[in-house]
Amino acid sequence: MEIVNHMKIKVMFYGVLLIMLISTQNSYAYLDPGSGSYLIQIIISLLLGILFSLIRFMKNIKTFIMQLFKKRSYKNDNDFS
Amino acid sequence: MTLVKDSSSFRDPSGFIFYHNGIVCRQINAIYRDHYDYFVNSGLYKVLAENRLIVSHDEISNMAVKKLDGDVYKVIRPQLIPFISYPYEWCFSQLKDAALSTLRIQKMALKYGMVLKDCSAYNIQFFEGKPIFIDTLSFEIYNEGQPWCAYRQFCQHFLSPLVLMSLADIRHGQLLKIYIDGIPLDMTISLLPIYKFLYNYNLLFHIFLHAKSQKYVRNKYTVNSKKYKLSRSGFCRLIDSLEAAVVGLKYHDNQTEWSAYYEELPYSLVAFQHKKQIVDNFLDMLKPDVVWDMGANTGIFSQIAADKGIRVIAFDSDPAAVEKNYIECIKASRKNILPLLMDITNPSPDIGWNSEERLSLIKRCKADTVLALALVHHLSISNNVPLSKLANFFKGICKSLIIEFVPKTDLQVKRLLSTRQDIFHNYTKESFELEFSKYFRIANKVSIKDSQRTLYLMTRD
Repeated sequence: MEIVNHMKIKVMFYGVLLIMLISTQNSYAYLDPGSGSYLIQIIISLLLGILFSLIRFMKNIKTFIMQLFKKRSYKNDNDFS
Repeated sequence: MTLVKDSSSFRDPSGFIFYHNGIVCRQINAIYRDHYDYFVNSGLYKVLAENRLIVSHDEISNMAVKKLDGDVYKVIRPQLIPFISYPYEWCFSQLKDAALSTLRIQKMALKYGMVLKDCSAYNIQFFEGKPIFIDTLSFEIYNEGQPWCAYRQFCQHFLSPLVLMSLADIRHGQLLKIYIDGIPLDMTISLLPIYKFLYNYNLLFHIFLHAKSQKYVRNKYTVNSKKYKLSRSGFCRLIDSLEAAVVGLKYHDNQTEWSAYYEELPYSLVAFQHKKQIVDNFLDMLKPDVVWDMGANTGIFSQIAADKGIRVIAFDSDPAAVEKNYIECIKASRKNILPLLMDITNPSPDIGWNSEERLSLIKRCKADTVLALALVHHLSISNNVPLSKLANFFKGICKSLIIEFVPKTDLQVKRLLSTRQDIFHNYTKESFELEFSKYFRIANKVSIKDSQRTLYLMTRD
């Protein structure tokens, strides 16, 4: 019974949190922001996020390959000594 | 006691500017209370004011000021900006610096949990040679998830004109005079070939795709913009991208008519040095606080006044000349010259709501002394303005005048008349002195060595 109550409280808490997150936020902005401008800034920020993630991913790949070559050349040097 | 509301400060319900016995004050309404308190208590105001990014202000007792309108929370007295200028009077780099300053303020605001609710170019003025933000009530508490409501305004007021001035024609900045809420994005893309947007993906996003998005949504009444969410990190990426877009736009010097004026002087070096000496002496006699240098070009004579600690506004109609003047002022850290774009034959008019939102040049203020050097013949000969009208114009804008008369025997005037009929029978030294004597006393006149020109010192007493 206690466990069920505990679960209920948890569900209620996260439920309220979720509602707060998805409910509309009030702004005191007085000028017309433009629906098209709202839409495009969401799209642009997503595109930029994807772009930067790709760039970071490519950099990581490059670093990984460079390290791989360094290890191999170190191993070859040790073979000759 | 006189209380007058400012004619341009009425759109924002948070408060407005008014004048109390001529002193600029700002009323903060109760609706803005939480945001203002947060702005001050969070430390954001302090850090912006210390970095001279925003005008500082004093809180004054609102009991001393009779309520003008609305539910007063507080009244503040902002720091005075000596001369108000408008974005269509700025050169390319001034507009660019104003844009970067706005974005820098937004970045700083976000660190303290606030966001700019508007990004009008009219929120920036130039003070001591640098852009400064004047709208203290622009800041509101940031709610994560809320898209940036000022994004459209930033793109139209700053990015749109900068793109056109950099990639199409430097004179496109004048469109800001017609479009008081910034240049529409669809107009910008109609004036540029699409390949120009491919050079920089930030421009592709914020101008081209932005314009298309506006068009797409325009007639769709069922769009519910309240469901759009922008995370904090997304907001930061947006601001960084806008900053990269602005930084990437460069000024291109296409050598306009007047930008190379001082590279090949129209008179000898001896004459030039003597002219500088006379202007220096005349300024010492007058001791003005404010000088307007009209037809200042790159500001060589403005610098003579500025070196004496005089505040100078250097007007010229050539955007390249104003740009050079501004860049030189930045390099030399000159705080008391403000270069501005102004065509004397068509100066900034009254525009905006009821034609009183943005004031004409003459309504804003007047000069102590005007420098009108190598100017009269261009106005009289090239623009057919009679000397009587010139004299009447100058009398309305200054208390004293340092003015150069360039006769028909001068090479420059000969060049102006070479392709046209000489209908200027009244353009003589005698007529000049007669017309100006109707409004001014000719206190001094000196013939410039090695030239046909004469410099006059005139006063209105």
